[in-house]
Amino acid sequence: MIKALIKKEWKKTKNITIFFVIILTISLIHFYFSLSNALEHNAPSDIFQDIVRKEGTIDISFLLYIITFIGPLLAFFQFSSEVSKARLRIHLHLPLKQNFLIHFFSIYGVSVISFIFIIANVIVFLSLNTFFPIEIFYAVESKFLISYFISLGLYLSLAIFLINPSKVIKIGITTLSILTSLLFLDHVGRFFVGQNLYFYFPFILLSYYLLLFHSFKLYTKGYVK
Amino acid sequence: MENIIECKNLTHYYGERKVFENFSFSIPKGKIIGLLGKNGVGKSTTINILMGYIQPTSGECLVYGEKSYELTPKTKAKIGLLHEGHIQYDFMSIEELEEFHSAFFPKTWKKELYYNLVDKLKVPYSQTIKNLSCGQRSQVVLGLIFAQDAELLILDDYSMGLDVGYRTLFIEYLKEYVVKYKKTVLITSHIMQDLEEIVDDVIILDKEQEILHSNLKEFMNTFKKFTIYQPSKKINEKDEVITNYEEFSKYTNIFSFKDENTLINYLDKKEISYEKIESLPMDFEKAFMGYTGRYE
Repeated sequence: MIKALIKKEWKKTKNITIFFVIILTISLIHFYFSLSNALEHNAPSDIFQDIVRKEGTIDISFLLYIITFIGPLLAFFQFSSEVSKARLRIHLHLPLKQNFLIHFFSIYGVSVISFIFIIANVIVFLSLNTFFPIEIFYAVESKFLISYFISLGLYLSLAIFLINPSKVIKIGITTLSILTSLLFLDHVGRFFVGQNLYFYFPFILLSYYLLLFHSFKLYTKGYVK
Repeated sequence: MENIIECKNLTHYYGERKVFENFSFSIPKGKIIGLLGKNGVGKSTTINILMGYIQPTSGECLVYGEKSYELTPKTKAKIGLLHEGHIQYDFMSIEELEEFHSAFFPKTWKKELYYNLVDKLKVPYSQTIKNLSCGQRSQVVLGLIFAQDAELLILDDYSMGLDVGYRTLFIEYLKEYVVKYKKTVLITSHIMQDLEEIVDDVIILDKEQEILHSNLKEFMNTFKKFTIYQPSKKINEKDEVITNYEEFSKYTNIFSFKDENTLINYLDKKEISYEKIESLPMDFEKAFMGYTGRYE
């Protein structure tokens, strides 16, 4: 049964997942070559600063945007047609526990985002660690991780936006997710670097997850598209 | 007889708008029930309550003894559901759709019933559902319900978007299947003549009238249409004799569960004279319209 559910979600999101994997691979290759090129003229410690502070020579923002946008686009492809075509009802009528069916949706999405993130990290680690000092990997990783968490946050918040019937919640979650993404991506990100930024992410993500679960419950208890 | 569905005192509101109030009905095992009514009277709401998609404002529905909004997987597996508009995973092919659904009913799945129906469409199994016509999609969805071998079939507006050819085909296959396998069916549709062929009982929902739950034959035998020519007074009140009326310039149509003699006595009592009174035969569609009334 679970295999069938995974196959269904994969079929729905296959194109967008493959598209992101291709784009990410191309970007990683480009990143690797620009890093090789930069190391011919700069010391590794300079490049570390460059990546952390975005000072020009090595620009990884494109990579970060890719990781960030995987989440919301995956949510869009996974949930928009389910809601607009009223297919959520078929899913919820499958002979499995309703809570499991609800959790399955989000677990699938979180797993796909995490899988892509892990693969990207493994590639970055293997390619960087072989030729460059480990500090460069840490510098890239600290940026990647923030984008990964934002990606998860945007995935869950867009899912809430699509499923929750309340306009107030829709507006609220949109504002909240845009604000937190912008803050964490840039200024607050810098501010919090020294204060363990990662401490805040689990709480934000858990709140989003609970709100998404609640949205599904609302859908099953009185709001039918 | 064991009741598969039991709804007691259902009341539902969408915001301020009342859909129905104190609606009770039960569906015994092996019966085919038609849930009928004009648009907006709560047919789909009833189905959605039964399937747990909506929790009623008050009252409760029990399906196989379980609250409809807390159905266990075991009970859900006993219910074959056709969603309004023949909704299915339209990104899947005919073959993939069968594979997907079969995974959830490993013990009861009857693959051959699905392919028997699908083969008649003469389309390749690799065809995606979204590329099928509405009629073809209805056959695929019906095939899935047959293959599931559910005990209870709930078919919400099966005729939506179907031409007369596919509608007839759908009803013929359905009739053959439910009679052969003795299934319990709750069906909604706007096509009365189709339902007349298949249902045992009817439930008629209406905003003006009381909810009617009756055996179809009994309803057709007892519900009568009378035409009263040149009545001396207006007959425009509903009561225990007059279920509904249609006023025209030279005559008035009366719909009633009473016989002709009762109506004649009633008119005498009300001191209404008339030129003549005629009892007219009705088909099911006319009887339905007589009960629920025309749009003004």
